[in-house]
Amino acid sequence: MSYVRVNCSADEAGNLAQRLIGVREYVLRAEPMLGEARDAFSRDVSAILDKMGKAVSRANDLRERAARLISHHRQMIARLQREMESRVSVPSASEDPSGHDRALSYNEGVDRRNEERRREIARRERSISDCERITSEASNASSRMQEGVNGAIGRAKNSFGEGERAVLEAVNHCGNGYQTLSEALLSAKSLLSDMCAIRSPANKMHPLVAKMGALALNPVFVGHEGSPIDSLESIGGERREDYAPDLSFSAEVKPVKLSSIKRKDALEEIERLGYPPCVSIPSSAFAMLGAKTFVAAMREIGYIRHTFGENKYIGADGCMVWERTE
Amino acid sequence: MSTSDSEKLLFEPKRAALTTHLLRQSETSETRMALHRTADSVGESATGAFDRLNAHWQTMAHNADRAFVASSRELMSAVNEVTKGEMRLAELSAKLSEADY
Repeated sequence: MSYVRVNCSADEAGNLAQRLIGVREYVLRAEPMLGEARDAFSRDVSAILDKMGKAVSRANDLRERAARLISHHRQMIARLQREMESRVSVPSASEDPSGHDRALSYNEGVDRRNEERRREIARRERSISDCERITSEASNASSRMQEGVNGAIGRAKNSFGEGERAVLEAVNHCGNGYQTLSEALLSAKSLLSDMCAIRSPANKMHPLVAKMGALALNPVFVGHEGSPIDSLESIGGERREDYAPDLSFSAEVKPVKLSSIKRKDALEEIERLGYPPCVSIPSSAFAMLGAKTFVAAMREIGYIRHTFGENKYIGADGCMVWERTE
Repeated sequence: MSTSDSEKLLFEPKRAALTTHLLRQSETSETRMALHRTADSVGESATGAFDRLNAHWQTMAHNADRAFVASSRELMSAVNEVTKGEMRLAELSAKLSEADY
């Protein structure tokens, strides 16, 4: 003899299942949000790289501009060097006083113009030096910027990947878990709503019984004294793997003399057990008659809600399940 | 790109929304409470499984949040690198103009 203690109604199990489905949908909403974040992240990376590309291009323009300027300065320096004038020889003042003065005057002009050219050359050489330094600094700035940006974007991508993996793991793991849990509760709802007598070969555990065990409903079996009990014990032992490999419940078996039970005895048994049984394994037509008596007594006192069609479980090795009303 | 521009990262509001979603607990808490209220037998395994799933979700959510915050910080850093580069190049361009006569 056995019973299942069920502390929530079918409706409550159904509501919980619905709520868990809601939780699962909530969990799954993270995935499209992750997609949006990924798109935004990619667009940001593209925008940053685009902006960096323009800056690199500006650095290249700057270097080219500096190179053109250097070239121009060098051409000018070459021209100035070519334009450098030579002094003329100065005749003796006593021999050629006017030639002497003209030559001195000319040489003064040459010195002045050459000095201006030298100053101009020096200025252009300083400018070349500035341009070269600017070129070098622009190259360094561009390289540093590219290294910095690429490094930061690489790290940003790595971090984003870590976050993405965490979200996907959570979505997959929890989504599947909540689905399983929802299904289990929907099964419980189904079990609680439709518990009924079910025939099953005695050498197999019925899937519904297995499901009850998997849901930790701890089904307790009621069986006719004698062979049905042995049969049931073997069901709870070896055969459970056929239907529920992970099943770890232990079935409690309580014998009731079903084959000769009277209504009064049935009521006493129910009183003794405290709860109506959940599963019955009649093994013969006589036992089944007893089971029917038992069920009828339970129905009479309002313990049960559903049973399976009575004729269908007649016969040896049947299994029946019913739901109590509380 | 200035600092104020960096605040306009497209990723940032999406990251914030995702983080809020990941870390939001109210719905799951209600469900857990409902499971606890109703379940001695059915709920015994269900609440255990739910709590494990929820704990896993929360752990992953915190991990994801930390990673996304780091990612956003690095994006900001990249933006700042570009900004620094642009400013330096502008200075050099002005100096080059001085050398151009």
